[in-house]
Amino acid sequence: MKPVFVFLTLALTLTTANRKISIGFNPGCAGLSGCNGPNPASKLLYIKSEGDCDSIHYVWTFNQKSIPTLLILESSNNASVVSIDWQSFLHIFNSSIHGSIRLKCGKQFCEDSVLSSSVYVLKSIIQYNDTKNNADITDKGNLYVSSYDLSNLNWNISVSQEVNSFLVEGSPYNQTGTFSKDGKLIMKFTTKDKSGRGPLFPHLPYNDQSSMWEIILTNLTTAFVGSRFALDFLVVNPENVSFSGQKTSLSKTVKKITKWSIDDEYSPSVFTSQQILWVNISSERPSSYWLWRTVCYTNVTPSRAFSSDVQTTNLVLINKTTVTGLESNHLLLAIFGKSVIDKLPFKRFSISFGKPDDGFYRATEYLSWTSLVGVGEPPADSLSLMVVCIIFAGVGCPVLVILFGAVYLVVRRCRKHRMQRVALLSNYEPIG
Amino acid sequence: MHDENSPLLDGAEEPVVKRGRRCNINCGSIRDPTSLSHRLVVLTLMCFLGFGSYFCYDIPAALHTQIRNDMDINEATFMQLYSWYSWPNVILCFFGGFLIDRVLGVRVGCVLFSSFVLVGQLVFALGASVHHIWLMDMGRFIIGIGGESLAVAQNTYAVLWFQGSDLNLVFGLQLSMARIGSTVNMNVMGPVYSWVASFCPSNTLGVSLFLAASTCVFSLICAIVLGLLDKRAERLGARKAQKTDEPIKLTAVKDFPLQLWLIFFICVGYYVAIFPFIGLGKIFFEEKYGFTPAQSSAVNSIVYILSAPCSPVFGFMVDRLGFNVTWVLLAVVATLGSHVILAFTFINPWFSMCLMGVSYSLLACALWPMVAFIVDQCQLGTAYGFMQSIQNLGLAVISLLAGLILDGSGYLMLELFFSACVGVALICTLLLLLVDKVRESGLNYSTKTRDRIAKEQEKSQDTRFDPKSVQGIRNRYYSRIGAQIPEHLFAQTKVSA
Repeated sequence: MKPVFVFLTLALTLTTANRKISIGFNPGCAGLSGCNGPNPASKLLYIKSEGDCDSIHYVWTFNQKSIPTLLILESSNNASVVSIDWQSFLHIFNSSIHGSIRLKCGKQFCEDSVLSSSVYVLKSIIQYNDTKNNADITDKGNLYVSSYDLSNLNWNISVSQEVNSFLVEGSPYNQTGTFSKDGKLIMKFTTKDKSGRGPLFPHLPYNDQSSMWEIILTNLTTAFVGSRFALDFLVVNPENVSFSGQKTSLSKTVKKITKWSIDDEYSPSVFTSQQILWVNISSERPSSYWLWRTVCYTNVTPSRAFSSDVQTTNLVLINKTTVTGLESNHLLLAIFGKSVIDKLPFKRFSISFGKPDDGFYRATEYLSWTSLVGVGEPPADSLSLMVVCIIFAGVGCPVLVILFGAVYLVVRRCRKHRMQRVALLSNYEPIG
Repeated sequence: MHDENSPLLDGAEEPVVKRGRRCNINCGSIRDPTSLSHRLVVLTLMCFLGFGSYFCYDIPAALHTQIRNDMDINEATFMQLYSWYSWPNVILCFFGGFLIDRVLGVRVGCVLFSSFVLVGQLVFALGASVHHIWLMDMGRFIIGIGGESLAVAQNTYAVLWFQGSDLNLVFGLQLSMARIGSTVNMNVMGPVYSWVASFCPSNTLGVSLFLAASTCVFSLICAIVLGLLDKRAERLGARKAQKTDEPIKLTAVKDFPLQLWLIFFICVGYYVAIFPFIGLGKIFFEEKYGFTPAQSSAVNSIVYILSAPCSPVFGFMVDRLGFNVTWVLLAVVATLGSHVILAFTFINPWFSMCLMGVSYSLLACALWPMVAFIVDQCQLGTAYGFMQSIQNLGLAVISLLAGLILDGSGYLMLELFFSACVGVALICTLLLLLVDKVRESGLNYSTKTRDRIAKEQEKSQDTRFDPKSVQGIRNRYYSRIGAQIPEHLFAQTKVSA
């Protein structure tokens, strides 16, 4: 009885919310020209997830003519806040933009309380002609690769405070190329205040230190018969660079791993997940992570019938000169400064969608892909209670039958023996 | 093969044979039905008779991904294709033998059932072409009506043309042919689909399925030619006359002993963890182990491939040694083991699938003959009919369930579900062991002991079952599972010859 009780209390504590989450759109920027109007130039979202002894800060920027960028900071001080000096932040050509975003605990700057940090840049949408129908973006035979830079999109943001999430729809200023017929890139970002599983496939497990990040590509214009799409990302580990722009010793790195699991209970027939980990080189312990099951869905209601594959290319270290748009990114400039961006160890990779013989993107003109970002160790995927029960029943029942059978046979033999002895003694022949 | 036959087809000019003559002109030539060469031709035709239906049975498994993609269906709907195949046989396996004996005759029956398979496959292909899943289901239903009864007709032909140990061999060959049909299908339909896709991208599935129907046409031709040869042989008095059997009595069910019911449950519990699994296996191997489609097809068909060489060997072994329940227990435990390995580990599936294939053959050889040990000869037909009937019922229901489980909870849960089914079979086997020991019904005796008891019984009573009855051996089970015919039946057949 006791273990069951312990298990129940454990389950209860795991599911009750123990973090306070707040979302702010351009917080503290009211009145400045860059934040005014229905479609301001600066679109910054600040999400703070406050726990008992730590705080996690998500800063998203969807600024005009700039690529979407996400900064995640975990601080050991739960009173810490990201403070933005808006006057400096809005002027990218002014060198004072560097340092316009700082972490503050009360009146003090407290970047030394940062436990982990990670930066994500959503660079572009890649379209390629899958002539061999192998859904392999790295195949040299799949020519005609075109890339659509996401700084060309205008982002329409709606925040839902009640469910700790925001929805952002990217559509082009002028409909050309990939986005020429009502195409949209939609992102839904939900910060979690407790542990659980996503309500829809692939039912990703999350904890209170993570956020669910869903990306939808809908109605994109296909340039080729065999068009498939991929998202081009940059990630960087800013911990090698302090906020003041000074390079510290190279103790952290970003790497990609693929995990195989026997358990596909929550995402049928998907046995692999991929993780981008920000790890300490010496201990291999992740400080931040980004993970997903290798599955995307081609229908608004995800189901196995509408599932497709997700492939991730290897992480490639790049220098800034091969990537445009970084030097005009408010968030990167504010954290690192122009001189440091050039030297940052950005790693680039792309996530491509689709599998052979699925009719390419144009078959459904819809793709949705769910991932999880967070700090600390990624939430472990454990066998469900149902599976454990079935295993116990499966082992228990035959054992019970064997025990019962053995006892029955022994008892029967004993009784027979006794009857025979009685018969011998009384000289009476029992029947049967 | 057909060239050899062609002179036989214009059999109208055949001289009328006088009564009592063993052979007509060209004694010993291929035209003489009693000659070896003629019988070989007949044997070949018999073997290819079932090729089409076995080829078609597992087409959904071979084209799993393609059907799901092209028809935009989920696993539950996909598995209905298997379910619909099984439904008619819940009823039909009681009447297949009766229809062939009393109503149609083996020749007409055979041609009719072959036509059912062909029509069913055509409807199936048409359904894919016009993109209606219900039409495809209907096609599978029609194939089901034809397929299982065709196997009964095939066995009847074998009994009529061959005797004694020849019969053993013939059943073995028919079974191997059936397995070859399944295996060829598993490994050929994928490439056929890709090839069709290169020139007909709009209706690839439909065209591929129409092409597959050619195997049914081929089998139908075999049925017709075989019917003509059989008619001629009967006219010439060169083959046994068809004997009518006792009709199946459903009321006998209430007299079935507990052991028989346990055997039924083992049968259902075991087979539902094999056939629906193979139906859904291809994607499992692709997704979990990263196999290519061709590799997946190969590993998925290994159970069928292995059963061809294993069945005769195990049949011989079990016949000689006895201990049937112990073998069944061993086979069930091994199958449970292979499902557990597939569910919880990443050990190369070739290992677990080979284990499953070997234990599947072993189970078939040990389980099915047990029925004959505990049921009177006159009830054997009913018992086997009932066994197949609930097996088909089990397959129909479990196929549907398996699809639903896969859609909702994935392969781990599905494997657990199959393991649970085998677990039920395991519990029933343990209970059977117990009941058999307590009631001393002798299912787990060695062949030696069994022979001794039979001899003792022979002394006390002389009434033996009708030696010439084909009731017990004309059932579907021999062709499906490859069990060897119990030795005592052959002894009798030889005596009667």
